[in-house]
Amino acid sequence: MDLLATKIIHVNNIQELELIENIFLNFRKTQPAMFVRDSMHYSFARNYLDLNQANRLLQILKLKYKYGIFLDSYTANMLMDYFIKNGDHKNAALTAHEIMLQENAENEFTLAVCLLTCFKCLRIGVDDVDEESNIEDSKQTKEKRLVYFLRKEYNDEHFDLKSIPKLCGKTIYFSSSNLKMDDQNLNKNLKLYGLVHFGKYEKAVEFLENSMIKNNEAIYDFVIDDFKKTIDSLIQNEESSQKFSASIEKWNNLSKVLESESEKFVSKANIDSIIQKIENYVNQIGESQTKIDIENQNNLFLKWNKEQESELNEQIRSFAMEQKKQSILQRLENLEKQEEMITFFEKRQEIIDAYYGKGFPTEYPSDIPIEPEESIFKAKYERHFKPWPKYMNRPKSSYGISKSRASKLESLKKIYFANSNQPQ
Amino acid sequence: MSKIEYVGRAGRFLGKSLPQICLKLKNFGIGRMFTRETYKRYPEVTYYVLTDFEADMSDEYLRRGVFKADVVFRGGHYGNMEIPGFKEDFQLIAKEEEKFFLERTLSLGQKWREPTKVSKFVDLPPLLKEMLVQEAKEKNIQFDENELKLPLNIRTNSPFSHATYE
Repeated sequence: MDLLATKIIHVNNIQELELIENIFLNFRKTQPAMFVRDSMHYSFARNYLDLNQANRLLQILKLKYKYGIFLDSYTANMLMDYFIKNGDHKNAALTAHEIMLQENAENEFTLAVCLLTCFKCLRIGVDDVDEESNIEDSKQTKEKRLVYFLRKEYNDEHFDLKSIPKLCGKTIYFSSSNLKMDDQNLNKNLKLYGLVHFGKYEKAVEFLENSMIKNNEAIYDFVIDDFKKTIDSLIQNEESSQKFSASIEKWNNLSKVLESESEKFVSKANIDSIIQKIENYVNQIGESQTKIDIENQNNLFLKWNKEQESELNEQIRSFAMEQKKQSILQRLENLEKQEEMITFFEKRQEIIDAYYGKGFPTEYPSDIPIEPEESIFKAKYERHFKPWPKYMNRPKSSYGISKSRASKLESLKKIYFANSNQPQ
Repeated sequence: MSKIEYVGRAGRFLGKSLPQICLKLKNFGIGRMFTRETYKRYPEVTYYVLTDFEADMSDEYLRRGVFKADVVFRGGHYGNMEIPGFKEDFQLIAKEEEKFFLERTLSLGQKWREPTKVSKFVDLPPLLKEMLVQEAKEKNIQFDENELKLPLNIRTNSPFSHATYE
């Protein structure tokens, strides 16, 4: 599969590409899919990019059970770069989510780019389709079905997340908490912004109280506006207002503090200016990081080349060994046959003697005598009506009951009052 | 099309089976931490660090396979062993929260409670004791009544035994 993934670039039309995808889909269901190398993932993604099939690649990446192809930090950089240059911020954010789901915090540059793409995606605004469809479903009639064992509904808030703004919020929180920024104020604001969009209000309020207000950090006003909006929507909904009642109370206290000392805490900033800041930061990291990345990647390629070569040589060697073994066995068989042919006239008398004198077993199945076999019915009868071996030596009255009524009573008495002298 | 609502008794499990989580991760989640919902009732932490993962890839329901992990149960280390990954009770721990679990594990050989102390000998059952005494009297054997006791054997080597002699 490693070799196939590298040769995808020679594909001519879309039908051939579909065929190769089908091969990968079937390969995932086999046991060798456990031992796939990192080089396969890389070459698969790289070739799809070279074929200008980035959208198709994104769909494949989302179906993880089916294909099982994951992004490297290098390929993720390239994919996001491709989408950003085409102005497709939503798809760029969708690739950024992949890195968050894998929790791959090795490369700083990818994290910074993830931040930027998610910010831009939130700036454009994406509609939640999932919640609307759920509401429509609930209006329809429900069919009840009894099951032996009921599974609880479970949402792990990692792989089960479906709404794009929540995923964006989580990626912003994840990447900002793993980045080492010089501007601590910006970093903390980004964390808060991520938490608010992720929907973890308790954590967000705690974070705001402990690390922002106590350390006298300035908060951007658009973050506060978003916070207010989400809290207001929470209060309108009865279920959620009960659920997050503690955090809403805390927020009310904190908002008063923020309003009273607005000069100290609130600093005015546009989202666009923040995006500018992040872009500058990305450029800054890109200059310092590119050299290291290129070196690391070259080392990786050399390593993969060595691994693949050694494995290929080993496979070729084992194949040659097997072929040689088979050829030797065939030669031995041929030799035996030749020996029989050559020594036939010398051993002729022996063979004839064996055939007539000792009785050569005939090969036809109709000539084989049938041994008298015990009938099945007899065996079955014995098994059913013979007493259990434990009671074999006892008199029959102790286990059997005769059929006529008078003798039945007697036999019952014999069984139950065998030991007692005075039957009642 | 109407929506189906299932009715029945709910179990205590909450989560996913190991293959359901790990097939969505690169490198099959080796080295990651997992908890189980059932063991959250204890005040101490329990978690598994996955070392071997060999799932049956052809399984539609994503359950079968052989999974090995370093087990930490109620804060104590229990060594590397097979775990029941087919149970839909596992939850992935984010890398952020791993610190919280590592802080609360006890050092090697330590467990959440002290080992139970057991005496080396136990009294005989009364009827058996009476019979032995009678037999000894018939055969004229002399004995001390305090010595009529049974020895108590307990396992001390296995990882789950947690008892010592007094």
